[in-house]
Amino acid sequence: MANDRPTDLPRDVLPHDDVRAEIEAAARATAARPDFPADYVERVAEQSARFALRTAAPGDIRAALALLEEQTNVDALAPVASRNRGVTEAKKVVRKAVFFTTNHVTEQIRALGWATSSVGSAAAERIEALEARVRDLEARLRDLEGASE
Amino acid sequence: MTEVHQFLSTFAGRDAIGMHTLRLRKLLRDAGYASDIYAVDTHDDVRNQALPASAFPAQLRGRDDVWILYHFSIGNPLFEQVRELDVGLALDYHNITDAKYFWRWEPRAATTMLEGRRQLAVAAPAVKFALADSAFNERELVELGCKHTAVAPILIDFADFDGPPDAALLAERQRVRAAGGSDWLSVGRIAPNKCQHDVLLAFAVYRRIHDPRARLTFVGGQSAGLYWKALHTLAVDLGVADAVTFSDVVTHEQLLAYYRSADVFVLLSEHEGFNVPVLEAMHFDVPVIAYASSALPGTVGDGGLLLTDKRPVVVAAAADRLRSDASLRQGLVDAGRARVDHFSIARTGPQLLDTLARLMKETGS
Repeated sequence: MANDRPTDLPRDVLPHDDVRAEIEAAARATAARPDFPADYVERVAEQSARFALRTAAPGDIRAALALLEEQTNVDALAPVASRNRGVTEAKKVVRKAVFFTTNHVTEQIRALGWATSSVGSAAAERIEALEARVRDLEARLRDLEGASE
Repeated sequence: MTEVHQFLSTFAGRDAIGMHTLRLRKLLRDAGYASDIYAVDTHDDVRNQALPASAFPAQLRGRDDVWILYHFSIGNPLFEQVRELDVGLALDYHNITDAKYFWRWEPRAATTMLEGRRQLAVAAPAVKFALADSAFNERELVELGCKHTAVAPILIDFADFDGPPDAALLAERQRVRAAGGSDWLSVGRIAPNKCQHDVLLAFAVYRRIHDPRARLTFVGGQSAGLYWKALHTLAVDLGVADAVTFSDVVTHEQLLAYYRSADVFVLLSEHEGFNVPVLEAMHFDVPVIAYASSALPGTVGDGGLLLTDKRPVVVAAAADRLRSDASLRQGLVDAGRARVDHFSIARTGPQLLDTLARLMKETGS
């Protein structure tokens, strides 16, 4: 898959590079103004973190666990939107008719998800404790090797 | 007579690929090819324009010099069926969104995207040739081993946008605009890869620092329910809910009204294979601010302001600069018009036909 981050800017006809630099300078100047709403911008930054991509890198068990916990949010209400006439209404009728079943299954899937997540959480804590112990033992081993030389 | 038929899993007249398919069929027929559209799921608005894909194999018997141009944008079992047919198979690749954007919001969609990528990895080296909407898309095909590729942008007929807008909506928006404040517009499916949350965050900062009466309108239906809900919650949490409109799906006339009442078009997407709305905005002389990711530099060109930093304070500063710098604004409008001309069907249509004819000749057995 090709890179999807900033790349391949086109050749400038307008002085785009200059404008970009001026805009970034203006943003810095605004942030330095005494009336800059730092608290509000900080709030915005905190909200931004809520939307951050969560892709679990190999070995990042906590990130994988966060993803798993998010997926436990199973929705019992199936989407009904459709561009085809009448289909939306038909879906609503079906959804209402079978809701007692889907809700029952959904509750169990959620419970299964949380149970799985708790297993993952316990495993993560155990692994982290073991990793800390290994690091401690490695340090002590290095100390012992240093003392014997 | 050479036959070039187009296949797609979902055929909708209102989306960019659907319109592209219809326009390409007309071009092909006018050029003397036999050409039909086959789909699995055909929406009502184009019901009489397509044939069921399942009917094609039976119609194929006894015919030769038949090509299939498969529009690839998502995983679908249809592709496996098409691969089995004794025809020249080519792709028109419109990109598959990276699944990483959808995992936390719509995991089923993410699964379909992964399946699409798996199918593409098998298909790309096996097809006779592949067209790509953009150089960005073409790179993906080449990386997957496709031997014959060419860039052929989506066919856009900007004359479609010269009709009358929804008069009531336009009047209402103009009434609101009379009170002052800029109108930000962002058009496209509400989807995590398009990062509408970044637009909302930047708008909130812009409103707080530069333009307290500004408004923001998102035009587009939802493709990830949880993300859609999270955006609404975000607008409330940032105290801008009264200034933000989520239009959901709109009619063509309503879309025209939104474009005709916008001061700036903002797109901070991180993954696009092409992007039609930025060109639509340019057609309406609405200056474009876009994040320089994926295929956007190749689509926007110098017709819009491409940012390499989309922190809210920077995007807000860019919008403020456009509001206060008439010269820059006019320069972007002029450059946008040239960009629209570059992608007009009068140019891209004949180029696409020539490219198709050349590739069929070079790769035909």
